[in-house]
Amino acid sequence: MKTFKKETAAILIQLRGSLWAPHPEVADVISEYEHFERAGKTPHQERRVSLQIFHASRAIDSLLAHVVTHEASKPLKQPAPPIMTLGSSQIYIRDHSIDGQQLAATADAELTDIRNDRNLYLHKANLFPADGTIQSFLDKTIRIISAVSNFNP
Amino acid sequence: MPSNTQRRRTNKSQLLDFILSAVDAEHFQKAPYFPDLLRQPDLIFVPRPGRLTAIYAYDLERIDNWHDAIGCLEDLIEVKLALGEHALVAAIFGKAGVAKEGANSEIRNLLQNSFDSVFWTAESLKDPKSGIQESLCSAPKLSPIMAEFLYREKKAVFQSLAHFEKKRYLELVDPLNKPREPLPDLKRHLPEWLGNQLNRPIERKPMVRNVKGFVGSLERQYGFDFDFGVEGRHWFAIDIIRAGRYGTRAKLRYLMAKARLLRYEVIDGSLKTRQFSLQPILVIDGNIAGPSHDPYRYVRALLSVGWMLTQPSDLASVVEHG
Repeated sequence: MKTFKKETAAILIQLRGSLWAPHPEVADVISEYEHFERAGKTPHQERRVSLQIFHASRAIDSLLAHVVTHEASKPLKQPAPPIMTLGSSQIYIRDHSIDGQQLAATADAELTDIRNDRNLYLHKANLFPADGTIQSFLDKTIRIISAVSNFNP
Repeated sequence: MPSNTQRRRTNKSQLLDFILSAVDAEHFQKAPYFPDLLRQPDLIFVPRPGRLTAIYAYDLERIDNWHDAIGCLEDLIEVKLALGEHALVAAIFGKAGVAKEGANSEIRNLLQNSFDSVFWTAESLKDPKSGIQESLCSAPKLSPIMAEFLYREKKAVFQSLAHFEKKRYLELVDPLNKPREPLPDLKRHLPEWLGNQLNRPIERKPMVRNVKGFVGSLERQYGFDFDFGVEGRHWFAIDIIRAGRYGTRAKLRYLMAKARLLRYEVIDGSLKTRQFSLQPILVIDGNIAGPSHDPYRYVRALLSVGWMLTQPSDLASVVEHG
């Protein structure tokens, strides 16, 4: 059974040490990844990966939504999309940047992968990711969080 | 009797425990996992929300040549790019480590002037006067030159992967693609073969000036040598390595920093993108496959710092059309 302890710990420490950490919305994202960490202890494989995808999706959605909403609240900035989804946050960052910074092309492509994986496993009945998919999902998540943490709030 | 490796692990573990007992760390992780780092920090901790400290403990490793020191510099650059410039990056060297005088003093200066915080021995860290809390928990003290270098690197990495296409590198990430020739043989016959193919002169062991001396605030200017060089659409500086699925990360750390330090030149006392059209090419006999869930990891890394990658058999075509 793979619990992805190191990957989750890396995500958590990166968020706690990021310049965004003092924001209450990011505290919620950190709590969500703590749920993800605890989900790793669920012994039944299918239940475990379902929970992991659920928590990881909510966490990355909420993180990007907060980053975008925060940017949009600054004077003279483009308004945030009316409905905040992972896709709309991604498009906002791509089109309008965050404090003048965007995601690199590879990070943007990885965010698309995350979105596609998330949509596939959250919406298709009786389909569960293998540990390798979760591993890849988390590696990409670490990179996205790294990129987002580098944006100035 | 514990083996040397076991003793080293115990010493390192005791050192990290000592650090954690001496600083206010709200959260910490030993031997963390960040997928893009070629060498992970030994410890990372959060002194308070919004602040990060990463520690590389090179204790008991011998850092007495430029190759190893440049590897340490690459660790610093990677972790700063991954975690952000607000992360404090400290290095602890061991008693076997870096000499104070002679030729090695410049190596020492490079490390001292690059990392935010440096301890030359584990003992110095344990000295009550070392100010460990201040040294490891305050805001990073990057020199303006290093800050400028990192800013430019961040931008350059961002641009260099814009057109990354996996399919061009399939052979290089195939773990079954093993090295075929001993390295000395390859280094001897590949330049000759390329010269004949292109009907152009080949320069052996060219030296290309880098910005190591400037970035590290050193007394001298330095250069990197390559296995050979040839004129083409750019001036191509070519290195050859043998690589397999395991054990190539130490080589890659050096090669990453090598390419980064060649991207720039110093004009009127400040860092500028190199005007002279230099294109480094890395010829890989074998493969640089990453882990199975991310096989292109090392390809992406090398491309991001400006290397062109090829196998020996494709070198002529890369020089002609690359």
